[in-house]
Amino acid sequence: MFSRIEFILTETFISLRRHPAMAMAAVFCVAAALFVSGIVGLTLLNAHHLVKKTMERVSFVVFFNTDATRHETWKAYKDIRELDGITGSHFVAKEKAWDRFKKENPQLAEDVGHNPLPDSIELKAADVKAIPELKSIIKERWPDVISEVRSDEKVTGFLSDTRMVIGRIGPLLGILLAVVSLIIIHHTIELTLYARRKEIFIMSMVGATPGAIASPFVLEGITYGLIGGGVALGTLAVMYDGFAGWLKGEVGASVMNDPVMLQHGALAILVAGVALGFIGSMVSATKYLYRPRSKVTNA
Amino acid sequence: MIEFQHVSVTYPNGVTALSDVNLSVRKGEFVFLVGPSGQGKSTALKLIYREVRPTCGRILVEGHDISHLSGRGVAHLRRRIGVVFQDFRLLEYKTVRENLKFAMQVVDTPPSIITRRVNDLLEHVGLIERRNAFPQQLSGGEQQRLCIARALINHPPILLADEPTGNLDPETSWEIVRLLEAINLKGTTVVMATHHREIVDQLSRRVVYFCDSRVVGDEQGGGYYPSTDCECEGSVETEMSAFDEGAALFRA
Repeated sequence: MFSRIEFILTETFISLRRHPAMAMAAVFCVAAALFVSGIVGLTLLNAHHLVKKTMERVSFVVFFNTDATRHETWKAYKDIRELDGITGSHFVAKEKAWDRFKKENPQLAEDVGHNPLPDSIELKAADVKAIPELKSIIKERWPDVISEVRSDEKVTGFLSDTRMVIGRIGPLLGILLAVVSLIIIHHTIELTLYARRKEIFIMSMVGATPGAIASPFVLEGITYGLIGGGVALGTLAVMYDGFAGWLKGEVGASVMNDPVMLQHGALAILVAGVALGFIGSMVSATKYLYRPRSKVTNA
Repeated sequence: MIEFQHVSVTYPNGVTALSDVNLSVRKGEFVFLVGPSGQGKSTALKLIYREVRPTCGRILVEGHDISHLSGRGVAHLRRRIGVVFQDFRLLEYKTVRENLKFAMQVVDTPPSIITRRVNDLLEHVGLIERRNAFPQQLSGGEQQRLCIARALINHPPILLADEPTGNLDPETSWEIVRLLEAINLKGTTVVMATHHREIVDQLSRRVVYFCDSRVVGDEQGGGYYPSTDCECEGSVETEMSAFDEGAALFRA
């Protein structure tokens, strides 16, 4: 067992040392692919973070008729807040609304002279997409006391669509880059296998199993993937940190900074690097070792 | 030990390498395979170590049919067979000792056994003093002795040699043949494909003659030329004259 481990490690190291240019090319390509995948991932996470935060603030407002009595509006309010899908509600009496208006627009309030505002309710829905349906329910059930239900549907629709688009494009781009990395690792290992065909022949002649022959090459592929993943991770960490600092200083906004989420992302990049290296090298080694060497026609 | 039963090999380009060959090699024998180039000697050896599969027929090695072995099965077969090549196939960047160690590590031999076995083999082939030299620092004969040592790492009961003296001068060729004889005396079955007439004639061992992809003669204690006449497209005489002329010049 120790003999095999020593053999695998020695042969992997020899291969890396003998083909530094190829090794660097493979590491660079994996790093580039994982870096871009990381950028896509971070953009996606931040978009989710932004959409979630924005949606938390999205509400809709129910305006009562100006001639509805306080008794009628209060009763309707108590029923509306019990509707399915409503997560938050706040009754705004017309006096309070008028006070707020006067504070914000003193000149206009003076010109108007009297309070024209109705009672209203500010409502929050569990799901932004359910707002149009809730609006219709409310309008249908209390047609006599409610004059208007208002919401900024353009904002909610845009946020919802954006999240969906990023959610679809992100994984597609990631898959595309993963395929490119796989092809590059596959070819790098294939070149290594070709360059070391003499060793492979000797291994095979002295009775090494295909698994034993393939193991140094698979470890080489995994090493490329791991180093590539590490380089990508380091670069992403430095850039994300710099971007977060710039955003806070210049715009006053913050990026997604959930440590658990970021740790999982970092782990995913390293695992993806190892997986790319493993799959790419396994494909090359299997293809090389099981290729028909002496083609003999079958009877 | 080794048995060919109606073995034929045809390559996809239509070339027939072997045609209905029947051959049996007993345990402990020393057998020469002779004949002009391209008549099936090397293919016969490749069939034994399963580099090539027969188009039809069966090959038995130690009683097992090796025609349909898996990758792992081929690996285990090759641990029972040592192979020596004309062109040595040594790793240039490894020393003599490392070349042997490499071949033992890949079959997962424990480190304590590797050290002992490597020293024993180097002693056996007379390379112990040269253990730290690189292949390019060795003479042709020394390289071939290292190749033989590597073929013996797994204590194989069968040793196949495909023109092991093909790249060596006549004197060194004899050194190698003597070494193979010594290995055979210890009980290892040796099958050697060769073009070296002098060696075949002087050793007077069993000789199997290949011609037109068939076995045309099989003589115990035979010489390089079969005692019975056979018509062959590639002339044995022509093949050998160049080598023997060279050998004669070297001796002169």
